[in-house]
Amino acid sequence: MLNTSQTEKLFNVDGHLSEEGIAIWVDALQYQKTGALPEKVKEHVENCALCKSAVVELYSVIGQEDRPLSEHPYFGGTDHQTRRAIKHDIKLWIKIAASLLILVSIAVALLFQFWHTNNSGELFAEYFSPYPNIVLKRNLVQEHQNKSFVTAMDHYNKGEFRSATQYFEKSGQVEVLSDTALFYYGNASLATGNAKQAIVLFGPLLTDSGSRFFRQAEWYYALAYLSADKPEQCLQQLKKLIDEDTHHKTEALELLRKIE
Amino acid sequence: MSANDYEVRLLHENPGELILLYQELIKIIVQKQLINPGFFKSQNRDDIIQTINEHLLKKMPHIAKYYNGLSLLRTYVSVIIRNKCREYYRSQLKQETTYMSDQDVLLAPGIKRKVFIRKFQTTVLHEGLQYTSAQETEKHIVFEYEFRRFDAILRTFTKQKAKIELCIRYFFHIPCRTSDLKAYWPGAEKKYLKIFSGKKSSEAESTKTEKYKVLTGLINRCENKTNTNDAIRKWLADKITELIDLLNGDPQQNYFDNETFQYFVEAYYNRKENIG
Repeated sequence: MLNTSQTEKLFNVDGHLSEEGIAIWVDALQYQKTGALPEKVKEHVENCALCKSAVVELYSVIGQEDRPLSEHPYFGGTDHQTRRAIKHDIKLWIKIAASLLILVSIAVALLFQFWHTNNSGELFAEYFSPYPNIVLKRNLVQEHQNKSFVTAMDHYNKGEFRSATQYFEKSGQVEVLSDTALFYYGNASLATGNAKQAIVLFGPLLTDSGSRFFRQAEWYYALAYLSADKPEQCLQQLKKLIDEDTHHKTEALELLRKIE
Repeated sequence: MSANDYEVRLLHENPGELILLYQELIKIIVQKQLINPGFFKSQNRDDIIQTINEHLLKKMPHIAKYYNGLSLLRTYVSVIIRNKCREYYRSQLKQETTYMSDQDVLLAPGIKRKVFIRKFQTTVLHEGLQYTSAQETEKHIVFEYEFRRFDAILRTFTKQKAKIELCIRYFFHIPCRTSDLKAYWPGAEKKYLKIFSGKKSSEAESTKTEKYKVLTGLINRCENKTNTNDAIRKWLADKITELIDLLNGDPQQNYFDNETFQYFVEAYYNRKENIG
């Protein structure tokens, strides 16, 4: 509410609306608050064609300005703004609730994943040990002219599996990897936590039952799936090991029970 | 800090920047007040804007002194810009022209005569000539602008809005709803609720005299007065004239008369009904 002296400021000495009087009327039209105008101001425009014309003219011109209405010094926000604020509040709460729900879901999923991974990880750590190097260095040098492969095996022997994988990779760039190379490269990959690569490397060995590392590869293949957190494929591979009565049968059976 | 607070701060601390901030506003007002109605060519727009900028720059101390913070500063400055536009228009309204008149019998041939002519004259179309038809979209845009303007005009009648609207609708055969009647007279009698129940005025009431009779009866019952039919006729005629004048604007931008006003009002309420 305006006091008398403030209302007087909305009029000129000649009794018409002052610049600010016209401005507040235009604001009232824009903010849909004509009812909130001081009674004297309302009455004047109701009866004064000159001021009415000024108000309408200006409103027609600036009312189309494409800009949001800011908070008004006299009217405050518009009804629309208030409604929008309430809508905004509701939207905000919905957003917060949705965010919380998503966060909780993610947390549950992560916990489950963590528990599951942890479980798989623990089992993998329990059963995995890199296959010992059974290839004599002398034979290696004789059989393989590729120096990278020899170096890779050196690192493998020392337990430096990351370096070993690098040299295996280099070796693969020079010549087609032999079954031996594939098997140890797969082991080194498993040891460095790269289960996906290990699965790829062990794959060709399993297609040839006459391969030197066929049986061992079957076992490590199962472990690779365990490490990659693919329990179904792992179980499938373990069942195969058990059915085929391999020398990994006991371990496979034990692991199978633990996973199930 | 609201946008208005920021602008008020600029007014006191950096008026030049405030003027820069209001450039778009100045452009809109100049365009709508002086260019769009055809008073000035669009090539003159930048010059006019520059004149207004200079005026505002000079006027800033006055604004800082007299702005009391009751309205938005932007609207307050808009009033000043509008006033300057009107002043500019008036200064260009009349221009001194010297021409030879062969038809002026009072002057000897060949004698120059100094006259003042209106610079902005409307072209009067001769009888039989038609206005060119604009595209429907363009018409629609023009209508929307005028509807908005008419809506604002009605809203300036804070006390009489419902009464004026009801009378206009009834007088121009636009179906009235009971809600329109109740806006004017919340405790309206059944007799009137029946008359203003959404139907078009019946044939019996379609003569102007009958209409004034109904309206006089309604106004007298609602306001507990003893107006005559003639008094109501005069009041309504005055209001329609006032509405037409306001729609036409000052300086005049539209050319509504009683007949075109009726078409306009019908279109306005049709649109309102369609929007719901």
